[in-house]
Amino acid sequence: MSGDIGFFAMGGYGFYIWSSWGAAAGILIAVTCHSLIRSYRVKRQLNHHITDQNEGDHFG
Amino acid sequence: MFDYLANPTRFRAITAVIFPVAVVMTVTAMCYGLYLAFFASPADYQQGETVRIMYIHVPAAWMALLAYLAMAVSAIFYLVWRHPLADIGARAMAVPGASFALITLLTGSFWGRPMWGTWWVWDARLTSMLILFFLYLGYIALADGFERPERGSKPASLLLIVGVINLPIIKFSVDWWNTLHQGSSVLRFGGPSIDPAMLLPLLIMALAMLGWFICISILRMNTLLAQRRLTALEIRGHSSQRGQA
Repeated sequence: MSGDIGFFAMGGYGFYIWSSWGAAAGILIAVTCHSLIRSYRVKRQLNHHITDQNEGDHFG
Repeated sequence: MFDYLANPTRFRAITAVIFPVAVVMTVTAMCYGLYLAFFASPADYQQGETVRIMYIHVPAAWMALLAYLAMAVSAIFYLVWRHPLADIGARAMAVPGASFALITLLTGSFWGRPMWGTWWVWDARLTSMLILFFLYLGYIALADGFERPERGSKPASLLLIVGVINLPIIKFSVDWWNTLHQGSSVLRFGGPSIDPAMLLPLLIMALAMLGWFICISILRMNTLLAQRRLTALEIRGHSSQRGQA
């Protein structure tokens, strides 16, 4: 068995170890993306709203 | 101190400094922690390579408890001093906190299967951790379950404070009851019983998760603040339109 295969096999426990780390990484990445996307959307909406209002004031 | 922080403008100025520091801390600690967890730490003499699950499982469990405690403290500040920022803080910490609880449960399951021969057992430690996860979900449902989010703040904060009783139960469950889960090996009387070669990756991973938690909480707090501002502007917009008509 080559060294690489041994590393991923983790002494026969590869499935459990990589599933654990995979699940954790998946959750952390998903929450990070969700937080970033929401932040981006809300800030864009807020900016639109502020510029709309300013334009409204200007032309009104 | 909280009075000082409670001003949203000042909060934004302070977090603008803390946020990049926390990002650097998270990335550095995560890289170093991954290296230590997989390359620079030995396999356990009894559990073999599965001990590498510990470096994600144990820090996640610590963070799940810490995040809940931080939310409960925020809830007290909100209920007693009526600081809206404390409520926003608790709301922002709920999702990352719940994800730590979920990570703890999932990785524990993946560890229990090869070591205990079962994915799940209804023993004290596992059940109290599951209850913590449900408390997080209950808080999120209650806080976000109203059309006007502020209406959910008071009941959700009360739920957080009542749920604090679960924290010592989780921590001491392994001492109070006979459980399949092993006892404490780091935060115990008489100092850690764990080998330094395993303690270091554990602490570095905990630092990485703390950093991530700080980053995500700040990000979500800023989003919630922007959301509130947006709602206020919209309400003002509607009422001025009505005024013109």
